[in-house]
Formats: sequence, structure tokens, C-alpha cells
Amino acid sequence: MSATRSQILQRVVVRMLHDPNFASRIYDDPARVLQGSGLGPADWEHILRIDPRAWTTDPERPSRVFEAIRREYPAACASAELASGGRRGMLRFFASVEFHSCVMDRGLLAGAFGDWLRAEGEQGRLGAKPTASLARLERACVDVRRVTRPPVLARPQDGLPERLAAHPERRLVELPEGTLGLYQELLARLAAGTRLSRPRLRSREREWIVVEPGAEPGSLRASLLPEGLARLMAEAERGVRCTRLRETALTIGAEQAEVDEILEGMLADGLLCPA
Amino acid sequence: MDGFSERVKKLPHLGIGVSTEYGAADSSGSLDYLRLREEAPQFAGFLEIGLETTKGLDRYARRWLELGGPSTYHFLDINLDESEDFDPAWLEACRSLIEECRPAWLCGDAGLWHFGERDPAHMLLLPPVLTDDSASEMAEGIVRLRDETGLEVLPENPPGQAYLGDLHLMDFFARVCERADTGLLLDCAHLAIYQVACGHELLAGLGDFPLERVVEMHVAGGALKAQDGLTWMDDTHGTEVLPETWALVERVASEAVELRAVVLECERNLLEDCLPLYRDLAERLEGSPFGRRRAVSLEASR
Repeated sequence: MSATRSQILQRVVVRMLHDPNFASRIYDDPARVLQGSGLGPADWEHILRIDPRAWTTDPERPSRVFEAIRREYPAACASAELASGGRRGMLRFFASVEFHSCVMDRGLLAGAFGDWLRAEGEQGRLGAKPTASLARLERACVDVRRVTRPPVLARPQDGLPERLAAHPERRLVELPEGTLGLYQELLARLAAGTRLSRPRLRSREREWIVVEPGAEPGSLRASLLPEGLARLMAEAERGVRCTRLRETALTIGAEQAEVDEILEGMLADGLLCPA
Repeated sequence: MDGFSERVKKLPHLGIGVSTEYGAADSSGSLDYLRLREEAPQFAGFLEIGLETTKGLDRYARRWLELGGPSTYHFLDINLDESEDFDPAWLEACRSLIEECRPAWLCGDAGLWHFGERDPAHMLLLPPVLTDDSASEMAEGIVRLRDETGLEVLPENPPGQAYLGDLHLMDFFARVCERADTGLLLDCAHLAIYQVACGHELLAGLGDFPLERVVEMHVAGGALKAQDGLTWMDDTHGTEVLPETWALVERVASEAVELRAVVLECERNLLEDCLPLYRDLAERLEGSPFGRRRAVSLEASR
């Protein structure tokens, strides 16, 4: 549904309240800064009539919002903080394209933050590779927390379903080897309040991690998945014919006789589901 | 359906009450409203419960309801002017809370409670854009929520330091109330904040507002703050009610013939610190239509 003018204006206000530089730039050159927003001069006037100081009466707002987001990225934020000496670097998120687009497009802020932090890490900032890897893993957690339990399709009485898909409540991520261990170690240290040292990920190998809902309501479980199963799950991400998955299993080294047993096992473990 | 002027006659007179939201009573130094109900029931006519569907009721609010205390449902998670917000899951949870609370009506700030979908990091509260179109969108949401729940829905004027739009706040809400054919929850502290922020006279806009639409009123403590040469009012909910707020309370109460409920928002303060304020409020309301009705009601309950 397309946004009304007042809804667009409110989204711009949200951005101004979190990013003082953006607010200043609107006063300097509204036509340029708000180009493409769907607002016109009459709308800008509503903003320009406000005393610019009114946008800064709650300077702690970005910090509070960051703390709310940080709860979902404890390990990645700890890594970034250790590398950069504090959280100031992460508050730059509120000046990022990811933040501004998220607000305008009704996106998920926790998701946008994870995407931004990962990109920062990949560009060698805020703790580089460990931060980027942990941000990807915790971004998957963000998704799994918000998945609505899908309806379960009935399985055929005997044999495999005609189509299979990766289970919608699971997320698969491919990351540098050692990421899961590092993640678990950081969480344990944060919980115990013990001193953290700057994390490292030296291996050039990869590992595959599945994130899924845990046994306790609201909890999550992250575990390693062998490469072969990960490749099958990745192939089934958007739903695939069972015959195609059988072929893939054979190309990655499974024996003909065990292919259906592997897929049955993935169904039983909740990695795949009928599609 | 009857018009507002008929429907309002069927709403109960709740008197002076107290507000809360999930977990508020757990904080040290907060108001023990169950004790207020025992020790000063004349100020505990009802509990306004601030509700997010994801959190529901806390144990104190449940206890209040078990004791048979009247309530109102103050929503904290619906953007009335966004049709996307009326999703089936939210509506179902809202109806379930109504079933539990049996509130006299629904009410809440008619503003932006969250940007995007409901999510912990998206929560905030911004005032509406004060334009004619926006008033129509807000009115549409109020009618929809009333239809969906079968209860009156009273929009409240939200707080803020930056109000966009070309209408005066009271003109905006006059249009909302007329188009939704509903009543208003007028927060006098929020209105004082607005008048100061916009440089208006304290009583500006009230003269043209149909005060018979005011069904509920909020009173709260505030503080004047200054930053970079800008003086502004903060909605502290403390025990110091600013003179501007009192002036608005007295002016509105004197003409609000359908005023049925007044909340003193002081949930973050100890009962002993709140009682003088409750007495002050009751005295200031004494001569008003609300105060006279309340006196009769209190006399009858003795």
C-alpha cells in the first residue's frame, strides 16, 4: 500500500530525530535532500517552519534505539566495540543509507543494522572479518525470531514428497570456520561478565551454521551442518523438485542407495519440509 | 448506530483515576495503585491500563481487575492512520485483552507509535501531521477500530516538540472528532507542551473546540527545560504540575459537560508524594460539571 503524504512526512521526521546532520541538510537544501521522497515544496514548508533546535531536545534517542538493537547483536557489537574502542562507530548507522532506506520503506531496523554492520566489517572497519561474520550469524537469528510458524503441509503416506523446501523456520549461513565457536564464546563471556579480548578468525576454511527456534519459547539454537547437507538445504531454499535434490546429492558424493535416506533424515530433522 | 451525543450518555462516569503500563509498578519508587485503591479510593475510580498486545497485562493490573476495579484500555501500539496496522493478529490480541479487562472504552495517543511494523526498536511516539488530509486518515482508523471492537475509541493529543502541519492542534482534533463522530481524551499537559512549542497563547484553539466532545482528561507533571536557547516543556509525569497545565485543566473542566474520567498521570512516584496532588486536582475540579457529578457519586457510595 502506498504511503500518504503525512506518512511520508512522519518517516522523514523519524530520520531527522535520529540523524541531526540529515536534519541540518534539509534546512540547507530541502529540494536536494528530499528529492525522490514523494514530498513537494508545500510539504518541506511544514518542516522548515519548525525551529531546528526542536529536533535535538532528545539527543539520547539514537543511543536508546541502538541499545534496543544491540540486544539482538550482542556478539557482533562486542566485536565492533573491542576493535573500535567504543560504540560511537556503531552510532554511525543512523547516518547510513541502510537506516534511512529502512525507515522510508517500512523495513526492519534490526535487519538493516545487521546488514550495515556486516558491510562495515567487510570493508575492514569496526572489527573487520569477525564482526562481519558475527553480524551475518546474528542477522539470521533476527530473521528466525520473527518467522511466523508456517502451516505444515501433509507428507505423502510413503516415500518423499514431490517437492521439498528448506524449512522456513530455519536459516542457513555460510561463514568462515570458527564463527560459531567465537559466537558461543563471546556470548558466554558476556553472560559471565568476564573480560573480552579482540576476536580473531584466521581460518580460510568455511563452515555452515543452521539457526532455528530452540526448545524454550523465544530461544534459538545455532549448530554446525556438514557441507553436503548445507548444499542440499541451500538448493532447496525456495522449493525444488525432489528429483533435483536427489541429483544434487549424487553430484556431491552420496551413494545412490542412501540418497532418499539422507533426504528423509533432513525432513525428520526439520531442515527440509514438503513444499 | 446512534451519534456520539447519544452514545456518550451511555458511558460510565469513572471519576478520578490512575494510569499504568506493563511492569511500571515493579519499578522502585513507583505508585502502588492497589494501595491507593485501599487507602484513597476516591482517587482510584479506575485504572487506565497502557497496553501493548505483545506484553499484555502485568500481575498488578490483573489483581486490580480481579478486585473488580473499572478500567480503560490505553493502546500503545496502533498507528490509527495506517491501515497496515490493523492486521488480524493485532486485532485478535486486542479483542482478547478487551475480553480480559472489560474496559469502559479504548483510548490512546493518536500519533505514530512505531515506524514500520511493530518491533521493539521501532517504538516511539510522534504527534500526527496536523493537516486536513491527516485528520481524515486518523478519523477513518478510529471508526475502524470502534467497528472492530464495539467500544468507543477516544483519540488523545500526543506530546511532541515538533508539530508539522498547518492546522492548530485543537482544530485538527475537532476535525478528527467530527469525522469519526467520537469523543476526545484531552491531555492538558500535552496541550500545554504544544502551545509553548508553537508559540501560541495558552488557551489558543480552545474557544472553537466543541468541549462537549471531551470525555476523558489527563493531568501530569512537567518541567521547563532549556537547550541551545530553546525553552521547552518536558512531560515528566512528576509531582509538579505546571501552572499552564492547571490553567488548561480548569478551563476545559468548566465547560466539558460530558467529561467522565480524569487521570492523574503520576505512576513513577510514591503514593505519599502523589496524594497531595490528587487532593489538589480534586479541589480544582470541584465546581465543574465533572466535580459536581463526582461529589454526588462519592456521596452515594458512602
